[in-house]
Amino acid sequence: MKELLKLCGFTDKEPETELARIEKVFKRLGITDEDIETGKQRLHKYYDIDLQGLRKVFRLIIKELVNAILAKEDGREKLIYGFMCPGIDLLGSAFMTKSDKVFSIHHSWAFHIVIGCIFGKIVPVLEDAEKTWLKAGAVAHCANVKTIAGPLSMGLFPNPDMLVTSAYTCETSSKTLDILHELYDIPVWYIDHFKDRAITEYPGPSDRVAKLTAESIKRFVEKVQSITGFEIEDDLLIQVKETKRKLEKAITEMRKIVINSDPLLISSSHENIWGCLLSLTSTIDGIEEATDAINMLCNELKEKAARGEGDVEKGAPRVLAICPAGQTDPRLEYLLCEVGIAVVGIDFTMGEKSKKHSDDPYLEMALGSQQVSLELPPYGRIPLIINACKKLKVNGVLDRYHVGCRAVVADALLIEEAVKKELGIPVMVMEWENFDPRSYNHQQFKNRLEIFREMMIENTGNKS
Amino acid sequence: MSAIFFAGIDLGSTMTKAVIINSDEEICSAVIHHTGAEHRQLANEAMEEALAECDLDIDNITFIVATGYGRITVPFADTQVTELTCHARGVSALFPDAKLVIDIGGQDAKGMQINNGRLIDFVMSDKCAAGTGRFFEIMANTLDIDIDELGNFSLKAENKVSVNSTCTVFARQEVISRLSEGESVEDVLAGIHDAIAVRTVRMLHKLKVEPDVIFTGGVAENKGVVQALENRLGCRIFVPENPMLTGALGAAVIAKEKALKALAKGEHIQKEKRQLDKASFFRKGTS
Repeated sequence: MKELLKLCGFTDKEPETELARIEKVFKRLGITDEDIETGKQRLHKYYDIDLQGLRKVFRLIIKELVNAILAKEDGREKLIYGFMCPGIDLLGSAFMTKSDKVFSIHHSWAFHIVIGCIFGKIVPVLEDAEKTWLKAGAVAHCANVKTIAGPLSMGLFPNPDMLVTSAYTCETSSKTLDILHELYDIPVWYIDHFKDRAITEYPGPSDRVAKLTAESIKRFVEKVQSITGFEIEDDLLIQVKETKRKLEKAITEMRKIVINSDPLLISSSHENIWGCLLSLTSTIDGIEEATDAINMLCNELKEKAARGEGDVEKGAPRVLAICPAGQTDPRLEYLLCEVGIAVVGIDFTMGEKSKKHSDDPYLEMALGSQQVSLELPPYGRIPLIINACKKLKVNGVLDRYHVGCRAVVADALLIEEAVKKELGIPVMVMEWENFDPRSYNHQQFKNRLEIFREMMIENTGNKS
Repeated sequence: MSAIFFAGIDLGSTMTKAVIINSDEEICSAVIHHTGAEHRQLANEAMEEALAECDLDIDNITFIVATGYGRITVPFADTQVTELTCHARGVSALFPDAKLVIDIGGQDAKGMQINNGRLIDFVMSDKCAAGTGRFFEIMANTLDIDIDELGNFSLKAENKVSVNSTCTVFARQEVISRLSEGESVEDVLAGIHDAIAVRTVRMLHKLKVEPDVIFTGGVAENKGVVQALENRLGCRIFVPENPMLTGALGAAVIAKEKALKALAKGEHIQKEKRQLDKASFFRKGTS
């Protein structure tokens, strides 16, 4: 156990009470000694765990999970879980900075990393969700919603006092929370938010959508204020936003180092880890700690680049991947490196920053939330992807579509067609489930990726 | 300059193929064996046989490329290339105007869009082996007919019977059921062949069907499938004289390209002395 925690950035100086809390939570999650061994092996195999900055990031993620699971025992009186909900990470940080009686979390992200990526034990959680209502294999039943439902049905997380989601970004999230309300009598709050904009409004955000979303977020905050009795001032939101901005900037800086590297400095399996960090709803102090860890990582990556080291062979074909890296399973990203494909970018992290800004923190949150790939319909998403390909100078696009997601799945063939037509580079369309390790088919994926790699090399050779 | 030779070996899931060509890309020898569990040994045997056929020694081969699912385990290969890239090259060597290749092998089916021997796009069957050579083996067994005769029987059909194409097990049940309903073997077989064609055309949906369309792999030897595919695609399909060899031939052609490129740069291309050893997958002392 101590060895595993050391790999995850915990030191000998850690208070005994903190270690006892982790042990308690691992026991509750059913983590055995065998799992600990597996965890160590997976950390070594799938992550660049020698990087001290990365270890610190894992530490923050584990701490977030522990704090979430022990929230009630720690005396938190109100628990708010957010899911597919614009602004919840920022709002959660504000709530927790304001009061130690509230715990607000995007509760599944840290869970994905710890239970899925480190211990490889997410499947029993999915199966538990499938036992009662979310059928296995059914296309519309994205495993992400199962990772929300499963931990509650298994009693791994305390039931929250409120669940909050967006009613339009992902329809299955709101439906799943409806079910959780029916089953566990948990109140659910919906933030109004939608993807549709007039075509002329692209590539920028839509004022119309932003206004609706901002008003809706504000109503949610008023509700939280009425439940908790404290006030969330605009100044606090601005302060949290500013602190988060520093973290975002550090991550952007780190991504730049990775994008420009050859050999690729670090596998795309790490993308989830940074993504998780952005979604953590720590207090302002916690966000600053995360920023320090990423800054440390930046320096380590620069040193690694100076030594000429990387996770993929030098000169490997550069690829933009569609949809995020496996959220609960790093094996596909590892396979990509093994085959010799350098994933230098992911469309979900390539959105252009909004040029529109507002002094109203709610409007600012709403404007920012529109610029990510997930929030864009095809005619917004495709230009984003084409631009990203040009910017990254990629040799191909790995068009993996998250089969259970109605928000993105229909775009796959349109993306393929557009990239081939406009850029003339190979595109490999691949079906997978972003949150379900059972969808990983090693030989099938390997066969296809090896051919894809050869096509990119040949295509590049022919052009040069 | 003395004659130089290149070899390609294709370790498929069902058959192992070896081809030796000369610098004019003429086939000097070609052998086909069933792939077994000990495919590393089999690769040696196939290569030894191919070498003997044209009276060459392994050291006479300038460069060897291995392809197919077992390509990594070929102990004497100089490099490995995926089977789709090899198929594209092999087909182009035989049919320079080829645009679409359909390859149905023992355990999978593939579609390849090619241009001047270059792979542009591809599709592959996934999830199960329905619609592949294995499917025909099971049908031949069910009907107690030699697998090589399935196609000929299907061409004698008078009223094609509709058969499920999505699953080998269901299709087998359906065949038994149709026969017990009084349908003739020929009509049922025509339905089976059409089912394969429907499944293959569905797999090809995202590729452009344009001539020349070439059909390779062991299943291409079945005339019933060729006709069913022509009917469904609405165009003529060309089948190489030996449709199982295109992958190995492509590997040999790539071997030639790689070797000549390296020689032109003055690079040494054979790093280690090749050995046709008797390596086994079993531990020493077991068999």
